[in-house]
Amino acid sequence: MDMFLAAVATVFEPANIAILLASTAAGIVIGAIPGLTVTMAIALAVPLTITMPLTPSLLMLLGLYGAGIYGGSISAVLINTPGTPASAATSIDGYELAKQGKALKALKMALIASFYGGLFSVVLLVVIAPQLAAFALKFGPAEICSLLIFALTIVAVLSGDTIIKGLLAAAIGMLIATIGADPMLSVPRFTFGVYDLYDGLAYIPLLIGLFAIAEMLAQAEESFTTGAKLIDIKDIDKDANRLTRDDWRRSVVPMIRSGFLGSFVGMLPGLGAAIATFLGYAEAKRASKEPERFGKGAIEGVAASESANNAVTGSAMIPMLALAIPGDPPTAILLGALLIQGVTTGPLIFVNHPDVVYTVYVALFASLAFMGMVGWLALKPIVQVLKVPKVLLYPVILAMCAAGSYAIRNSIFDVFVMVGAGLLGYALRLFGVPVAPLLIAFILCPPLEESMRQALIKSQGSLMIFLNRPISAFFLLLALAAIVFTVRRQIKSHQALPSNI
Amino acid sequence: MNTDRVFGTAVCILALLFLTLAIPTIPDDWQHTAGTYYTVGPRMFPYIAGTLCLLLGLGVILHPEGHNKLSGLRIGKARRGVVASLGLTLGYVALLEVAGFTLSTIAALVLFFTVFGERRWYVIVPMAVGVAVITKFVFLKFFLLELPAGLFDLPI
Repeated sequence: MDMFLAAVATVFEPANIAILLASTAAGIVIGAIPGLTVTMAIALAVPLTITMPLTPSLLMLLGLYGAGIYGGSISAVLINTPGTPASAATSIDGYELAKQGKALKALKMALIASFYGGLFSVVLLVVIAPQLAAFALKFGPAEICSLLIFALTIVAVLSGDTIIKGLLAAAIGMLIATIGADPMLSVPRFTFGVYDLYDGLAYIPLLIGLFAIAEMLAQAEESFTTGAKLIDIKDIDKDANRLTRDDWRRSVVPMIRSGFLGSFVGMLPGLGAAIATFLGYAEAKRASKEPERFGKGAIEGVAASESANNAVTGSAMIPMLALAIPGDPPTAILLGALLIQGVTTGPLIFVNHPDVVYTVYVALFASLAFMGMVGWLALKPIVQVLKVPKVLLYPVILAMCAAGSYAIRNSIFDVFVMVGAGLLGYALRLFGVPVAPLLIAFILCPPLEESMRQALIKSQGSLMIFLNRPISAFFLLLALAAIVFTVRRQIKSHQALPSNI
Repeated sequence: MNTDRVFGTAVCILALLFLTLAIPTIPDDWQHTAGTYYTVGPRMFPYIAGTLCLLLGLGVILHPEGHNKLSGLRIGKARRGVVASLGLTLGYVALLEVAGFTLSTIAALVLFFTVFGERRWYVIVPMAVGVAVITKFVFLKFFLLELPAGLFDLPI
């Protein structure tokens, strides 16, 4: 208890509060800018922490982490351009709500769900970190592979007009993901001597192209008539933007469920928030009594995806602290930052450095509280972006996207990839093919291929390894069930699911 | 012909080309280093992805749904808008490395604004210059990220 109180006292020193405030605000801004990722923000901040004591450095990095993931939802809702891959699912319903003049409502729900998801996973971290970390260790290559197949299947079957088009989008994403050196033997695939292709296509230009550039081309069909606003609202309608009892009723259960899902995904090494958010969204749609509302401005869609992605922030710390295995790229950098501070994570951290553990707990709670406060204060000013005429807004977005795509690897090639992805996204839209499964397949495929090949090597080529192991078989059964139930539901209802993903 | 069938046929043709022409280009010299140990090669996953594309493309041909948004492009003005946007975007990206971020962004924004009907120079010029300069400054000074300098290598 003394250590906990000491950690609270340290975290809430005025200088530390100022650092937390600044990093939270910076995290929200960086997250909202397409192309700038949370990982990049944390990596850039690490050198600044070298000369700092442990507490302020932790506050700076954790403030950036949580707020950055939430910040991605702002541009996802307002301009259909997810600031980070973790917010890609938020744009599906968030942008529809914005088009209906309910951007403020969507952003409020995104903030509340992010706060809840973060809080839930931090509580999990505090209460059962070592036990959960031990469970995560039961996931070998076969289990990871089956989980990824399940994630891919559920996103694909629930995304489009028809199961076939959703699955086809996922297959195209898998195909694009095979470009570059293969993940196990580094054999170049489909590089055709182009040096820039050896590392494969970067997912940020692909994300920006599929969403932002495709959206710009779709908007260009109306030729950006002078004076036309992105969403034609003179003033923000206060009543329409209030969260009603009905909104809460619809959102609470998906939000709680996504908190669990996001925390679970966060614990597993190498997966991360982008996968969690699609899983949370797809599960909310699957479980809904009115799945046809999804894709047309369902507030519960925003709640589910944002709760899931922020639930990763706390739970990714569980394997990092308890086993020294980072759950996602940002926690890998945090692990390095802790090492710089002379703290070695792993099972012994609870014995050797309990003060650090308590500081991490309190810093996570404090960063969440600040994310809530800063985010809430920024809501109304942020929404004003919708009042900018489209003819001015879209070219500016294009310039920012080009800058973001270039900055990932200092490569003009990535900017061309962004444009190519934009054309692909626009073409797929025209044919009613959802782009979300393509993106999620692209993100999932490197770990999927790696785990599949590792499992097959382990079993000497026998596919039975995926069925003999209970956890693996469970996820494969779930994937099969998702396909069967969706087909049955579509046959029964004779109505198409929304297509605007 | 149903547009879904056209789309499905295109996917099938591309998938077949991928399976028959592209995958065989993956080098197989890795086998010499694998020795006698069992391993799974780099062609397995592309075969899975290509086969899935082919089968699902066939699925689209056999079960066309016809939900698409192609009708919007039948209007000449809409087509012109898309082509103009795409042309300007490609021109902008091509110019980035030559003229650098600042100059090419200013030029692209001025063109974009005027092509799509904005005529107020007191809006066009400050917006174009402001966005280009501020974006470059923020990326360079705050995020320590380089943007294309171009042949002229402007300091900002």
